[in-house]
Amino acid sequence: MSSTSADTSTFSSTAAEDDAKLLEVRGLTVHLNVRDRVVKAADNVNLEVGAGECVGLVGESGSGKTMVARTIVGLLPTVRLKCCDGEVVLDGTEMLGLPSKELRRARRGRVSMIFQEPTSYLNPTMRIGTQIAEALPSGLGRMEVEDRIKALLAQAGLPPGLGIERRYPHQLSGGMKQRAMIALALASNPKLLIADEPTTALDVTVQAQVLRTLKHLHQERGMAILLITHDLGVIAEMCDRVYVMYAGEIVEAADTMSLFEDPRHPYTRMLLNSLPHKRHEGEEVLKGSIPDLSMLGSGCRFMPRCPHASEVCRDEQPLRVRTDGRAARCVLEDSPADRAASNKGPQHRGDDAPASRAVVR
Amino acid sequence: MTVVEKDPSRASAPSAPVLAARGVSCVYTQAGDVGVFGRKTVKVRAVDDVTVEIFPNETLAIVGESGCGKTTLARLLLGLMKPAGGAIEFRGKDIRKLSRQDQEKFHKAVQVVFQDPLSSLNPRMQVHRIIGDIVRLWGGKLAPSAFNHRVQQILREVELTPPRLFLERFPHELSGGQRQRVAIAKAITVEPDLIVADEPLSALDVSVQGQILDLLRRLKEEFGVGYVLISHDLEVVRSVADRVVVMYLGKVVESGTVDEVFESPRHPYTRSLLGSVLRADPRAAKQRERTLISGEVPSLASVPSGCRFHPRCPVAVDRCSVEVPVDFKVSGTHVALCHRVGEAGVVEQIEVPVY
Repeated sequence: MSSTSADTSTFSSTAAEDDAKLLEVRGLTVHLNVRDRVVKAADNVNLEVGAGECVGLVGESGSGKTMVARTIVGLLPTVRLKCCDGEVVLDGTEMLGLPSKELRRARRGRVSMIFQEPTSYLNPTMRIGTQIAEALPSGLGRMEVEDRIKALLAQAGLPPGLGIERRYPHQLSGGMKQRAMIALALASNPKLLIADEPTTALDVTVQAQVLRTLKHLHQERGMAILLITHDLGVIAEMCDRVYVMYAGEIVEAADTMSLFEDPRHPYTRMLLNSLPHKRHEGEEVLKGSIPDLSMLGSGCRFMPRCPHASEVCRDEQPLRVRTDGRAARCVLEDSPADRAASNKGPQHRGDDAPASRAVVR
Repeated sequence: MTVVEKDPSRASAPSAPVLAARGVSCVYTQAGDVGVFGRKTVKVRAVDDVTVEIFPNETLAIVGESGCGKTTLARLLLGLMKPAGGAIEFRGKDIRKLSRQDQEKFHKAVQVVFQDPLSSLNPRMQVHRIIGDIVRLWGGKLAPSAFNHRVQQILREVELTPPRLFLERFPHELSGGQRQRVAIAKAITVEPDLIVADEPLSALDVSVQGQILDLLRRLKEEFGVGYVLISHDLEVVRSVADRVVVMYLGKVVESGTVDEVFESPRHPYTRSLLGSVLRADPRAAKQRERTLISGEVPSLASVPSGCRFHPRCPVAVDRCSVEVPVDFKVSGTHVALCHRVGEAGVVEQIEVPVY
């Protein structure tokens, strides 16, 4: 929280709003070396998560959403990393570039992450209880540890009667494994949970159960969630606000209701039109696929697939922020009234500052 | 057990089924607990006495959670596995008793598209050979120019245009959607009557799913091909299927036309399944507190007594754990396997979203 004063100098928002910001990602750029090419996995990504907020990051596979999440918790593949630029401020601590020991300390009690494939993140040779015990703070008595493990499993929706703590990961079903991972993530009592496609591998019934558990944890513990998914149904069910990512960039930011009812970016609109139950109404349907992130030109990255593309789109497009706090990276947003509004800010920072403002609400 | 009744109301579809499963069962042997004389084996019935019929130019969807026997049923329908009981009939004849010629007809008429094209396409073959081999196999001797023309025509059919860009590529050089298009191209090369598609969309992104759905729909209209669509995605099923079969633990628990099953589902399992679907509609999500079913599909090795769904069923009574239910005919085409369907206001306790 020490950086609150620094924040107030950068942004003209009130101190109360700064306190509410748990995670701030500013201008995050991640480039990776893949063979002899440079993959721009994330470019100038700005996003914020307030305390106790549930924020969605939605995009197709290859849009860079997982890279953003991994950068936040410091799980980037260092071997391949070409450059990683920007700021990730989590609960007042700058996370980027911390040495691993300090990074571990910075994560504790602040952030935990759960993944799509719990099987590959749980240790197959250890009982679930032992794995959770490792994540608990040191200096607890044996009985206390056992009680805490049981309590955590119960919070994750695994009642004590099942004896999950004595079992190995392979003895659990997919839904139980994901719950065990949630219990593990809760062990350090984090303020922010990053959930990367937490229910993609699960059946619809189990998916609904696991999401309900996450929602309860969000509501009861006041834990903020950054939910990364490609599933717009999950977003609609869970999130207060949404960022839409396309080809390594955030193309739209909005609260969930407005995003679904009045999508501003053509990509978002067409993505919503691709949903099976909207098909009959949808006149614009997405063709083609996400561009190769190692061969991006300048200009709007959605241009090749966009039905409204014009010459203007060849220039780089900033995220245009409207007075109501919504933002979209598209020239179509430049209606005269909005243009006047976005001109208020300094021109050269048109990309950064309003984007951050957009999510302050 | 008969899922699709042969009664007068079927008159709307006068043609005979292309493919039918009549009371088929499938038994797997699974490793069980370790006993005194080594590991015991358990026999599990992955598909238990299932009857389904697929009519020409119709999309029949099979839905259910994983582990309910959907894929096993598909494999049985394709003749990839021998049923332990019952029979698969192709145009009214048991596929095990087909003459050599009829067998050839069967394999030509019924094609398959798998979930993961990367593992179902030969990684060492370029697209022109993947398709070309089938053209050569079924199309007989063609002049080189006619042959090339045919291969390119098929690729155009699945919207891989211009074909010359794709001919020389290996499966790993294609995107997920393009690979699935090649898999579909393989299936339509022989101009089949029926394509069994096992989760053809679940490995794809939403936008690509939409494109592949459109392709499947177009092929159905243009070539009169029918589908057996296996999917866990009820939104997809809702948008493309004509009839739906809901499976739970190897049994068909409900079947009917797509409107019957989605608009007035009768089986508690179907209702719970529909209630779990997350719709991309935040307004609806906020209004509704879902009633979720608890637990997961039990192991086939320990199938619950009586009605298989009773341990998870919100409206189960004592009778459900003892007596095996029989089919309840809701209408001529709509059947549910449940003790309590007939009782007024019981299954309605499980809320379903309005479609």
